[in-house]
Amino acid sequence: MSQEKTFRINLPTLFERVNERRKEQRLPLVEPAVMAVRASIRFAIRRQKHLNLKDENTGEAEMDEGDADAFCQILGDLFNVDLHYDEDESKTRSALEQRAALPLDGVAGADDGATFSLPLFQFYAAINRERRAKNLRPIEPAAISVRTGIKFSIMRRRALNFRGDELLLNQADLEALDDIVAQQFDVVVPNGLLSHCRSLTSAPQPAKAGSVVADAEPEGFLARLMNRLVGKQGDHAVAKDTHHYTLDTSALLLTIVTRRAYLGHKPITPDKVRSRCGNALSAELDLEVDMNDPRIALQHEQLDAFAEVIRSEFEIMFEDMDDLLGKNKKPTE
Amino acid sequence: MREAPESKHGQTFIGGLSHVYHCNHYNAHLQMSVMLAEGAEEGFDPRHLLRDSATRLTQSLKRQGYSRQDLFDEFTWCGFGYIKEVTDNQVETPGSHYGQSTYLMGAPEKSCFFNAGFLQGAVDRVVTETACRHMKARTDVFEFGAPLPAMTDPLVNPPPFVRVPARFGFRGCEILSSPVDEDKIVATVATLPLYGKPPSEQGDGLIPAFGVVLTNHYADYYNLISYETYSRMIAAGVPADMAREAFIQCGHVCAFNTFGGIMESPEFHALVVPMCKSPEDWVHGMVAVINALGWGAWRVEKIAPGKELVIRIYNSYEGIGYRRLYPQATEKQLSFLAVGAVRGLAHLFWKIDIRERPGLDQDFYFKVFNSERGYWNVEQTHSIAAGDDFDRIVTWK
Repeated sequence: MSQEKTFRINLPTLFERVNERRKEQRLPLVEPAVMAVRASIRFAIRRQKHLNLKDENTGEAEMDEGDADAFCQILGDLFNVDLHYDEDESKTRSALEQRAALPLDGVAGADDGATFSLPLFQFYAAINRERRAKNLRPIEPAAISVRTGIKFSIMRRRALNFRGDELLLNQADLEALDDIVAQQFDVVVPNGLLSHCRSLTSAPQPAKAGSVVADAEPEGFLARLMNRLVGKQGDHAVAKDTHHYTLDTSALLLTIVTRRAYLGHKPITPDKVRSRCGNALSAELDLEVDMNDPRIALQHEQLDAFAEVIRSEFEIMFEDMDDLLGKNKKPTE
Repeated sequence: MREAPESKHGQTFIGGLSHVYHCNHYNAHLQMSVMLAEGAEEGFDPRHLLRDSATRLTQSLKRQGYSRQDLFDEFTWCGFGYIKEVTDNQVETPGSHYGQSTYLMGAPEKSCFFNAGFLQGAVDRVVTETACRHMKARTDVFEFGAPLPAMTDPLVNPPPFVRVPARFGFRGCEILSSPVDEDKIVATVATLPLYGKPPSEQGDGLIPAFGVVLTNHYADYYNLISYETYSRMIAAGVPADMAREAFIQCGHVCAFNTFGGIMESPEFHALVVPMCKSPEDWVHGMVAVINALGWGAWRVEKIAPGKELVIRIYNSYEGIGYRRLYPQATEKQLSFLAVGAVRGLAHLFWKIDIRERPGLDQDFYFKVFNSERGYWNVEQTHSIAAGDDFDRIVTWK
């Protein structure tokens, strides 16, 4: 059985890394002290133990593997970055000593240079769509991710990160995933999973060949969906800074209520939906959201956070995002 | 049957082997989890592990004097179905838990591995499944081949049983009393006819109960297939938390189906519910039932309604089983079933409310019970496998 590992975490380096990732995503930087406080609170709640993030002398914290994993995940959750070690391992390694000892140190996309992004909700939906077509029961995403994750680790000798919104893959990974889907879930996705991917090679490429995936700027799935709906796929990389997306507030509220009812969740009154939605969006998006306005305008970089807020606040599982979006979802200049 | 079940240390023994009740959903999911390890190690085939683990246990019983017929009788009594001899070299299982009641999510294949392994030990020959209901066959057919050499007994270490403390009489227990009469519940559950009947008694060797199909399975079979698979996954580089999660999910599925089915059953409502006023009482009631399943002696250490649930398990079948198979572990998170089951127990009361009898089906599991929202955290803090006196599972929101 595996040995317990202890990790010495260089906090300034790790916080710097968080800010680098936020900068890459054009998100505002976060004061390291704020990061430390918020992360320690969340850590205490999740792990039921106190974490000293302020060692005056060294700026380092020591923790076991479970805590280190949880800590990285918490930073990812809180600050909308992905610190999983299968991406950009060299930088994470410098902050998390001994992380390099883990056997799964994948450099996705490094071996053939062709890299793709597969949105997880499309991955789950594609499998279950095909299962329904064969009169098979759908499988919950949690089971799909664990089963796929284990098979992929064994076949490709590296781990996939199912904690984000998308999987970053190369051609060989995609072929392995197609095999796994057929073997584990008894379906074949028409034209393969590649047909659900976005190529990352059309985006500006970083100079460092070995970190194509880590440094490529992944687009949010909602952004991609919107672009697809308005026929702008591929263009948004250039034009996104000037785009605003508008959502019809009434349609959004109605969709939340009906989707929850469809899923069997306890009913929430429209007023409560309106208030919870407004509060959550305001808190998460640093945006003054008034749900009494007929429309909400969002910038491109807020779209993923928006989708996540709706998903976590109202337990809506997305298979088809169309019904979440209002009629006026066209980006406007 | 050759030997009557004997309860001691919180476990149930038949022929010296520990037996535990588990449902068809758990058996299906556990088998699928083991199958995930295909390719983890050169020459390793999880199908052989699933088959040969059964063989090693039946061979162990034969060494104790079990005859072939004794084994066939136990196969039926334990709810695995019944075996019909077709020729000297062929049998079929017209009643078959693994053939009829389990399921696959992946591509169909012949997958009554346990049955094949059980038969191998019974007849001392290589057994191959040649037809299977999972492949749309009418029944499951097994053919006997070459003589099979004896396999090693997997249970190499003595079981480190400890004295089970009184229900609320252990240091750290935050509960003083409960209106739920555990002794009465355990005694009553023991009288339920939870065994498979042979065709001569108008049975098919299956145990349908509480909306699921039960087996009174060999605990060491579960332990062998789980830990052998887990260690190979880790060696192959699968992150430990991911590998654990595959097995913990099985426990979560089990809690939903078996615990949920029990708590929705008329028997539970007739016997236990009259003793209960609050969800905490229901927890005590369900734990009392669990103490009749052979899983070890479950003790409720703490209940903070809607916030935290702490369960200790003395002589857990996973912890004791691990120590019988292997040297003391260096990691604690090894009671996979218990971890998933305790989290599932909390979900049954505080994620959904089982008291309202919401109706449990796969759709409900998919969309509500297992949805991310309101998912409880869970951790195993003490582990018999790692040398502690008990397993301790903490789940919190």
